[in-house]
Amino acid sequence: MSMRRPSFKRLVEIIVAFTKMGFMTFGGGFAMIPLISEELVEKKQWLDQEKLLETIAVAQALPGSLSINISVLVGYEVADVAGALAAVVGAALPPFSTIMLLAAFFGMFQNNPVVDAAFKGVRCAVVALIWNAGLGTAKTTVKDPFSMAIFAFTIVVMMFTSLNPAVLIVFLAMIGVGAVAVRSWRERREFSQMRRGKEGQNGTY
Amino acid sequence: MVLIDLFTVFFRIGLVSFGGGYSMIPVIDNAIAQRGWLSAQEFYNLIALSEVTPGSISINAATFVGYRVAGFFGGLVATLGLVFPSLLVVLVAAILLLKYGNSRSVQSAFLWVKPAVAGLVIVAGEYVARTCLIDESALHPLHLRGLLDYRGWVIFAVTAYCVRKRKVPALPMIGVSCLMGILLFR
Repeated sequence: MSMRRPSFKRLVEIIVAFTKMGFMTFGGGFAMIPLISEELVEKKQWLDQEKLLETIAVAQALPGSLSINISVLVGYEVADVAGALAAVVGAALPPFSTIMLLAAFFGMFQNNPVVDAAFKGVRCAVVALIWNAGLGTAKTTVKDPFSMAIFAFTIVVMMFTSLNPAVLIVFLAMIGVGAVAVRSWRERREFSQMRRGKEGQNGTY
Repeated sequence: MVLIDLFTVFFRIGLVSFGGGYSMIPVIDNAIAQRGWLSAQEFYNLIALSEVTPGSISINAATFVGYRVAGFFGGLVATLGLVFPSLLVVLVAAILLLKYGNSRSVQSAFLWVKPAVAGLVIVAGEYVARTCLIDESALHPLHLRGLLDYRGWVIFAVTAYCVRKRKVPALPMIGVSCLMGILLFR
């Protein structure tokens, strides 16, 4: 999907999309996920649900802000390095400009009961948006007892311990890589045993 | 030079803090306290401010601290410093994934990781719920009233119904919940 030379129009489109999502992201990087699956997966179809899950996994396992990491990965997927840069500029612009404006007039917003009530209302809606996106991602990936177990394990561990999610992701990825290594080692051993058995039958050993 | 100091401090934060958002707060707090850039009270206000402003918490923090220390360019330099390591590290990862993404090992790693990510999304919702739907003190069995605070759950239920059954996009729901928040919580 990644293009060698993205058009200027496409890059502007990326900046606009990420700026728009950035202004709607309340409550940390994960609040971005319902917006991505609505804007970029369903509407623009720049990536699919599976790719979004892979993106979140990689973004979570690497250092830095989750929303910035997701932006770099999606931008790169859509339009190469230039796309990654465009996505980051788009994603960083809303928090940067909002804080700059508020910092210049700091105190205006603090302890304003109307503003506090409005944002509390938004957070209640954000919970529904995140869980809706969570159900969507679960539907694409939780299909058998194996994935069900990992899904449940993650929820229990993250709710009842203060484990860093990056540690969990890296740990599971290492098990996945290890499983392949064990499988191919076993296959090789069986193959060589089989061959040795045959050679024995032929009496050439 | 304070601008270079801001850049290197936030570059280091961006490079070493894993897990995003809330797990970056103690790292930022540590670096700021060491240099006396913000008082504890100011930092607490910053976190509160970050929660009600859009976008990444860590970018909010970098912009605010940079602005406080050295004005507009301070904010700009601190933000660039924070974003830069992510950009480098994640780009390298993206390029490697494009090359080796289809290998058996990477596919197997994703097989293990993807259901966990779906779980993380669910848990992230629960974290946000703690700031509006569930009063922490209500988790005590004798304080069930906070848990049953109907106002937050009304907004939650309306949003859930609209996005799941009516396929309403997120943007109008954020506007509507803003108004409902003012009506119900004030």
